[in-house]
Amino acid sequence: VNEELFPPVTTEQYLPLSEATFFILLSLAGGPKHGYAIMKDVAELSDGRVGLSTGTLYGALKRLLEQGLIQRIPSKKSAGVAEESIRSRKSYALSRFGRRTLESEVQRIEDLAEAARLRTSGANA
Amino acid sequence: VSTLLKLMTRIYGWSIALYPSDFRQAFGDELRWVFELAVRDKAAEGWGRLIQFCLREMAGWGKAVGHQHLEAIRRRSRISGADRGTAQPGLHRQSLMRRAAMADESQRSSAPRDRANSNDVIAALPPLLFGVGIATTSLVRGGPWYTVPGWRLYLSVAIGLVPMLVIGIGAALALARRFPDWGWTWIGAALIGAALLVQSLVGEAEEAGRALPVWAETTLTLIFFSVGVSLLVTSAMRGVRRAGLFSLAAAGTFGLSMYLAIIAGPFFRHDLAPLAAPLGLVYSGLVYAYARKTGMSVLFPIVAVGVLNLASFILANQVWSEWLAAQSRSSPVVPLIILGTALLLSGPTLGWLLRPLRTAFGRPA
Repeated sequence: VNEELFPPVTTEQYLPLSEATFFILLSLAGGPKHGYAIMKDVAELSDGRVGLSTGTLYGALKRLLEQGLIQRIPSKKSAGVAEESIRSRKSYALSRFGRRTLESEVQRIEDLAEAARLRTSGANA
Repeated sequence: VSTLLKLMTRIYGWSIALYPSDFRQAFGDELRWVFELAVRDKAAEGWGRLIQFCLREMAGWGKAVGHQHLEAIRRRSRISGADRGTAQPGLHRQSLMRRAAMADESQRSSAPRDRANSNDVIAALPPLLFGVGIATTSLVRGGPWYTVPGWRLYLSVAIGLVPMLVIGIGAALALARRFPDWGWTWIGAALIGAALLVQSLVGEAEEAGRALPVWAETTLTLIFFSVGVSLLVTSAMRGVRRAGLFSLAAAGTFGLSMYLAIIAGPFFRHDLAPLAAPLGLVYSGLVYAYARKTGMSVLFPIVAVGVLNLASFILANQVWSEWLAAQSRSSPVVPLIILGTALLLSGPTLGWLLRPLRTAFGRPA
């Protein structure tokens, strides 16, 4: 890759992640999933707080694909499954860069929590 | 229930058509499939969950469609900026994948010259539209408003408003697309058109005995003046050519508006007003020539528009002269010439004066 034309992208430039993006990446951390599985998982992970509509979900997936945080995996052809159905059932997986970004975000949240804990416990003492 | 779910899925399928084409092609099938699975699951959970899901989908659909269209517009303007070598520094913040996609798309554009030519044609359209609008209004009405049937009067107004509406939509599109080159003429023409429309509405209200208070008139004048100056400076900061296009269209629209003024009472010169259509064509030709020319040759269209405007002001003054004399009023021809010339020259002059500032900001000359 020509570094002058394409300067390296760092995980920090995408931080902090929005809540929906964080939960989507977190959902994919367990393995590849298709759109509906991500939708259900995000609702479960956020305890029902983050409810994604199909439009919002695919808008976020498109952005994450463009940013290189996730990859799209086409379904394999199998007997008895229509071509149209295969086209619809694409799965998404976390890329290595996406995993690093998620880890950086988790670290950032932990640092924030730690700072808050130190300050509040200091205030209590 | 199954019929209802099928119907909902079908309606959702239709609603996908409103997404931008690239998004639709990439995710349309998946969206439909996920919606079908989700709606079936929610229906199984009960009516409450199904209604809640539908409401969320409707809100999400509106937001996502709007967002994706805005994204598509931004991407197109970034690509056109990259094609013209005026890419913004923010481009460096784009991800590897997006820039690779943009580069692919730029390479795919096989005929940039053809595209530049069609952009210049689009840029030249507003004066022609405006002229045709005036001529059609006059031809349909055909005489003083109190002598023609009501339907003809309303039809003439409606037909005349269509080109103005198209110019307004074009200008709104140009603003939404963050000032593409072709958009400056549409914005210039729409600004003058809007100012004339407001002025005639204020005049009508005054004649009907409902004159606006002085503060309201002053506020309206200040608003138009500030918007005009802001747009002029914005265009000048983007180069002499763009500022010139803005000015040429504004001055041309102002010159053509004389043909609208001479069909108003008590003049009703419906014999002269149809001239606005061929004149509009000439103005458009001059805007096109300005967009295509470089160097000192751009002066020819500017001078030609100035001469045409001068002829239009003198013609209008001839029409008004008898009435003005009867009212003991002075001729407005000199203020009209000053205003028309200021509109015509302000863009290229400011564009030229701001050249050092553009260089300092790293913008194209």
